[in-house]
Amino acid sequence: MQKLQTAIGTCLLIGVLVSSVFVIIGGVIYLAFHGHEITNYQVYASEPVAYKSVLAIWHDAFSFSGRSIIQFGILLLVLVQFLRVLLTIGVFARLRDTRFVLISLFIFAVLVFSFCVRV
Amino acid sequence: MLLEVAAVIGAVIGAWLTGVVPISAIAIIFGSVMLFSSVMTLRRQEIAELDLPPHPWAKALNLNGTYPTAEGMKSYNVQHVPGALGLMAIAGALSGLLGIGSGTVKVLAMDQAMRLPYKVSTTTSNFIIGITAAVSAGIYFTRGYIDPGLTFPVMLGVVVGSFVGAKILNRAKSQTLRYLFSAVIFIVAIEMIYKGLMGHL
Repeated sequence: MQKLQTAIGTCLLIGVLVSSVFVIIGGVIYLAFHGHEITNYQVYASEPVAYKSVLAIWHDAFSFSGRSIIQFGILLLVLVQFLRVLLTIGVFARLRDTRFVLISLFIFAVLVFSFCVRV
Repeated sequence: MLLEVAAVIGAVIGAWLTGVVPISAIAIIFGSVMLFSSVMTLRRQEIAELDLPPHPWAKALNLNGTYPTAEGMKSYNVQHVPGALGLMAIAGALSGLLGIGSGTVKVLAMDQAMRLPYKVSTTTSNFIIGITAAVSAGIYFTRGYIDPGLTFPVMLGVVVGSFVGAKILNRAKSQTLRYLFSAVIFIVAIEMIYKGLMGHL
């Protein structure tokens, strides 16, 4: 049990680091081109479509603009949590703990739901 | 994990609420709650908690356990599970609504309601905050709330800070953690109330 938990922890750590790399790269690009701008955050405007859905973020990342790479990195970070829940389901399945497998599956479903449905 | 079920449901509701509820009112209420919590955290004594019998739900779901301290592993029992679930749902809703606070309310729920040792509360809370935040983030993404230019420095700073904090946790004394936690949420609470009263966030 302890070993499994440690393994999960390492996976999550790698995930966080990978996503951070993307964010750093995107951040550097973003600052290089836009660092001198004075941004206006007073008025709230919704993000452009390219940053909204998972598919759109994936496509836009290839345009190599700083912001889209950052957005991709952020998405990865959130996906690390998906991974965590999946791994936890695996652990409980190994332990044959049906109750917690169901609990974790439910959590995973809510996670997927939050990304797919426009609430 | 069990607590997380309630929290994610709360998170979805909370994130949905962001489109509906006036933020300043929530900020004031939340700030007040946090002030109260800040005081409560200081008042609790660590010594009394370790020998209570476990809540029947805790036994059924196998929630009791052990945790590391400077003296070695200590065991703990869990209390008030249903109340904690309710608090978790509220924490999730607040997190979805305000983007913060899920951590503080959850730690408090585990510390005060379930009588978990302080280090267990903070580390468990960190674990489930990730999932609750991911749920809220999913909804924020689809609504276009996440701005990469704003997020990137915050994220990088948080990652570095988290590493440092986690390393320190092992050696920290529970009482020190309590004081630190109490001070931090006190400051956040004042800030929340101020901003709520000023009518902007």
